[in-house]
Amino acid sequence: MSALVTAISLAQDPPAKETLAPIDYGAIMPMLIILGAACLGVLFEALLPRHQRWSAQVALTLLALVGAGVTMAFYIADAPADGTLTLAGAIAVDRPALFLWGTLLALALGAVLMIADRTVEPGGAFVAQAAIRPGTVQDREQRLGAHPDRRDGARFQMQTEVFPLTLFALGGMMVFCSANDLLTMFIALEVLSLPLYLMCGLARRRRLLSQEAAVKYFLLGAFASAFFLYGLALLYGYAGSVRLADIANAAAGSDRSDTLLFGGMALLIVGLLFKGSVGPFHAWTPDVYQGAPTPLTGFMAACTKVAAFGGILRVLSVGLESTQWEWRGIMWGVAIVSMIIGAVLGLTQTDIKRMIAYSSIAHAGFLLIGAIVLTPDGLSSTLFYLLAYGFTTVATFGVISLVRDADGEATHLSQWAGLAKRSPLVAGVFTFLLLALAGIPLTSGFIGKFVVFSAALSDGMAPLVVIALIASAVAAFFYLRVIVLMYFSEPAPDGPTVTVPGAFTTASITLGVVVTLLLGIVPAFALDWADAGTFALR
Amino acid sequence: MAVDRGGTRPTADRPGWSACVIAVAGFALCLFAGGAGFSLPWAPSLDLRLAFALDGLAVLYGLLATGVGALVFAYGTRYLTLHLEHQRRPAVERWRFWPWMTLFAVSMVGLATAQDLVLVFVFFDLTAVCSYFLIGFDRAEREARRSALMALLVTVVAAVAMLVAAVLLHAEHGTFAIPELLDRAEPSTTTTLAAALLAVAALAKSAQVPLHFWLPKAMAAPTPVSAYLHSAAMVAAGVLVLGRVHPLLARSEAVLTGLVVVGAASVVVGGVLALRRDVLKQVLAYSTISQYGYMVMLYGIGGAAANGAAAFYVLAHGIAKSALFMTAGAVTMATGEDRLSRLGGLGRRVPVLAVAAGAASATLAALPLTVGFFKDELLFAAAVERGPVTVVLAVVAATLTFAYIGRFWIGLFLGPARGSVGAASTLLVAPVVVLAAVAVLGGVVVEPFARLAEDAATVSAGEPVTMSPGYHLDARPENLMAVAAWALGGLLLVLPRLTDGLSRAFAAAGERFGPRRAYDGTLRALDRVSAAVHDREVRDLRGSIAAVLVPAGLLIGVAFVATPTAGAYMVGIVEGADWVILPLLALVVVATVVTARARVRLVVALALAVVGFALAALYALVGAPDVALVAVVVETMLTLVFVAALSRLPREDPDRFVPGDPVRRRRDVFAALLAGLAAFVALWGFLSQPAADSVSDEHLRLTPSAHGGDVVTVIVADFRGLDTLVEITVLLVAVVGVATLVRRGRLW
Repeated sequence: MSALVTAISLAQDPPAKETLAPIDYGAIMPMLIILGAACLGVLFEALLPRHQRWSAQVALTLLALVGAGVTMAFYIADAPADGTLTLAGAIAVDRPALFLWGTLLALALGAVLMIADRTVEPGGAFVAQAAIRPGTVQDREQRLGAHPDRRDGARFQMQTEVFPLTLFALGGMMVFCSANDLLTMFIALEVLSLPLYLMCGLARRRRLLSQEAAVKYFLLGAFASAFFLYGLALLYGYAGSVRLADIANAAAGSDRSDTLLFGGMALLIVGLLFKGSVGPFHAWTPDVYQGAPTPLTGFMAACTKVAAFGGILRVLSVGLESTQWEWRGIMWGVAIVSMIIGAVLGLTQTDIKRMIAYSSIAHAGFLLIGAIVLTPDGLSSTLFYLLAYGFTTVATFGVISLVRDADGEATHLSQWAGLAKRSPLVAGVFTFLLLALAGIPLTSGFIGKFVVFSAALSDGMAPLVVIALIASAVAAFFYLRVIVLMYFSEPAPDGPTVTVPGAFTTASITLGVVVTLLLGIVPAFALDWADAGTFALR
Repeated sequence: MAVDRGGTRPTADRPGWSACVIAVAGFALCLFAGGAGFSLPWAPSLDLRLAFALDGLAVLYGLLATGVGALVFAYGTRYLTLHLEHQRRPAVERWRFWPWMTLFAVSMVGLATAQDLVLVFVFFDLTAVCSYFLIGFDRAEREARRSALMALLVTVVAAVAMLVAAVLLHAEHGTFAIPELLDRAEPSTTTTLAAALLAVAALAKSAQVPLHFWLPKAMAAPTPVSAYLHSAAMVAAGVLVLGRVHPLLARSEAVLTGLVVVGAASVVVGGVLALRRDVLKQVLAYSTISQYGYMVMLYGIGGAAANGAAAFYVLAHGIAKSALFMTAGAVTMATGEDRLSRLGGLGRRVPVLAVAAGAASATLAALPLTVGFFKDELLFAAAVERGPVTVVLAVVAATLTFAYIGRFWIGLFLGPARGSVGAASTLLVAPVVVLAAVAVLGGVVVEPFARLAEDAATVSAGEPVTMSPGYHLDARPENLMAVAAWALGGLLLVLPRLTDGLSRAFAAAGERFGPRRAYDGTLRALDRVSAAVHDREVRDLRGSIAAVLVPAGLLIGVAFVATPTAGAYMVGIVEGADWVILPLLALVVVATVVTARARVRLVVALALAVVGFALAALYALVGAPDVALVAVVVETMLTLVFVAALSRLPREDPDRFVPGDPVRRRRDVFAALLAGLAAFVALWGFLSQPAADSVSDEHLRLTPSAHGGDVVTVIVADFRGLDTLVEITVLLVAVVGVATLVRRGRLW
């Protein structure tokens, strides 16, 4: 596969003659900060003594996130309205890219706070040493975590490589959202995926489940990457370029065989849909969501979805816009399958993390509806939906990580019975989040569905919207079941308890809940931002 | 009368009284602030506004929600205390009741005043969510939990229709504001569709046939909730929406006819079923279905008279129905019985309640000297205006009402005394008395009620409405119809056998074929499908991979099928260097087959290397020497890594792998061949077309100016110098990794 990348990159036109435009460092500064901080984090791991690493890494990561956010805010103030292309046209920094970057940074802030938390699970949710084999004495020892009353507790702090890995993944996602050619997009895809594969296997408890999840994610992800790459190759063969805009031009008028175009398109889209966990390419989602450490699941569920749909939006509306009548029917089918799989299979789940995984598949279907509406309304509504869904999801996984018994997180639904009696606050917060996922008014979920569905309706997709409404009704049913369980059942005597979270997790959940509420009541500011401009078509 | 059960005086219900005070304040507001309104931007980019106005319709429903609300809440303070005591639940559980109850009232007033269709939807759903938590208040009971979920699902899912209608109308007219929409809507397909969707949402909320089945179940709620839900809140919300958008509904004759049909069906189904129910609250619940059927029918008839009648009907029904529910609750609290067959003769023991309940029943049965008389008078007038069919329907409806409510009251308060009677608390009786007094007052001085209904109807009819209900001692059709209804109702009351069979058959048919069965069946089927599919969605990796590969293969198949084949594939001629390429390709094929079939790991690795090197040679021959160089380096490194890694692995033969079942193997071979064929066809198509401009000419032209002897050197060292640097770095890192691996983690 690597040889193929090299071959394609070598075969590209050398930009030898024309003088290159200078790099717009202001525009790509947020990306550089995140990737630079990731490299710095690797150095920290190598050079700092073990007991200093956690504080140094957390400080570095948070600083990087805030710093990237601040530089982006400064850049937005005088950014050109129709976006800018830089790095020899490989990166497009336009309004949607900036919106996605902002969303990613904010969501990552919430997720990183959860990843860094060491109070909910003593020592952190990640394993002390990835090399410890499951089931061994060392594993049992590290599972007890870094309890403050343990003398040798410090040895069992979490593996702090997760911070630079998270930053690498985040950097990859940011590049992915703004990649203006398919090759850059592929590299970004790998940069964002590889750290995630690795981190999935790093849960402190239930290590076998976690490692299984990592292996499955890696194997299936490798298939998807291969699909993407072969699709890229075919499209290059068709258009003679990997630039999205060039592919669009070629598709509008080229004498080459359409088999290359359609075959390439199909393969490329499969790769993208896989990352967005859109059914029927969702096979990894439930296992990985369940096995991965919960803070990481939150990060994946929110940020990967944003990045994947950012990429899908850009590919569809810049690269494949001129062929939309060819692929639209297929995408209708995919969206329908995704919504139905998510909604119907979610019904019988008994594990709360798996249930949210299926819910995310259904949401991917809703998002896809917005993504295939290639109007400005479709774009802005999908962006808004991503923002809303991301925050709700991060907070949801935050709450899930709080309900625990002696074996760690109590994710079986029966263990959630009567939670309202044990902890009315947590049950209330979770109810609110579930209502947001179901799309009940006064939550961000409602506004999100509302804007996406109305954009689709005005673009003549009424049948799709009807199916989406039915699917969301079915999905609402399983969210409501959890609410019924929490409020209207008696708690088991030896049921789980709700851990009082430390400052980090509290901050993360609060952030998610407040944004979910704000976007539900005063969505105007976010909608205006999402509506600010379209993709740079160059 | 006010002696507590159990002796101990419970603490005052502060949250309950607070809710009551809020309701009273709301009542005052609705009474004195009529005509007020405001409109704030909410989400300008979506054209959403927070627009509220206290117009006639809003005042009517607002007064109903807050007025009946205040009385029900006062009743509830006592009822809930007793209820919790009976169930041995701590008094603090009140906090799970009153906040929802208050929010219920607030969202009802919000719904009444909202002037924006999306805002209406928001409050519509909010009432559903409140009712959900209230119906499920007795959470220990399975029935309560199921009913709560059923009520929520039916109403919320149906409410989605309203949202779709809102979006449709917005797409057509560019606004969500109801007054403007009503102005702009012209008779068209969109308008008809939107009107039908709005009607569906409203009818589900008002428990109309065939979406009525949730309401009788919802009586699992504590009595104050039922009283409020049936008279002034949840169920009334549906009719309120019908009134709010009525000018829009009136644009489509089909929708109006549909409303008449649904309303009439509900009147008959609800009425007939109410005739033979035994449980007190069930009689009332079916009666509610029937009564709201009247109002839906009236809105279906349309026009000024019917709109006025509908508004008046809501008012009269709300007063009577809340009083009757509270009566049922008080009786059950005092006797511990909730069935007509086990109760009787209470009239002598609780005379005040008997008289008050009598007044309320009379209101529902439309006897003179109650406000109810006028509701039927207006109904009959509207029916006469419309035609003979509605006249018959109206008389049937009134007959049924007279019969079931008569049976209810007589069964409770007359006849031989049955059941032991404890004391009924004052607070449980007083609200009934107040409502009965209002009902009788309205029967004497109807003016204020008529004014309220007029103002409301002016909004819903879209034209000024005047009405003058009053007693007329002459043989006009309305009076004749009323007399006929009383006579027929009395006959049914005296000869219950006339309708026994009918009612029983209705109930049986409802059990067998009713919509509730469809609801249960749908839920069960969904569960079954979900479980079955999830079982198939195997957890083994093969299944997961297949789940990605098969749809991907299908997509690509579609791509092949969809493209024209004519002229896309050409067979060239073999010449020159091609004679070297062909054996190389043959070598690749052989090596690939060996890779797939080899049993020894080292052979697999080496065969893969052969594939790689052969392809590298191929690159060199087809004019990409720089790519060939990279490929050779990468291939060498990978082979070394493979060999090194294999040497460290335990020496276990992969042969111990069982080959697996033959079906699976054949399937694998088939899939592989198919994939290979697809790749072949794609490449063939690719190569059949003239290649895009190559960069090699440019490279050759630039070679002298880069001071290089040959083009490969220049590409590696100059044109792609940075690439080379990065590749060297990657190689170095890989070598370090391999070295560490080979030396068991030690680098030096």
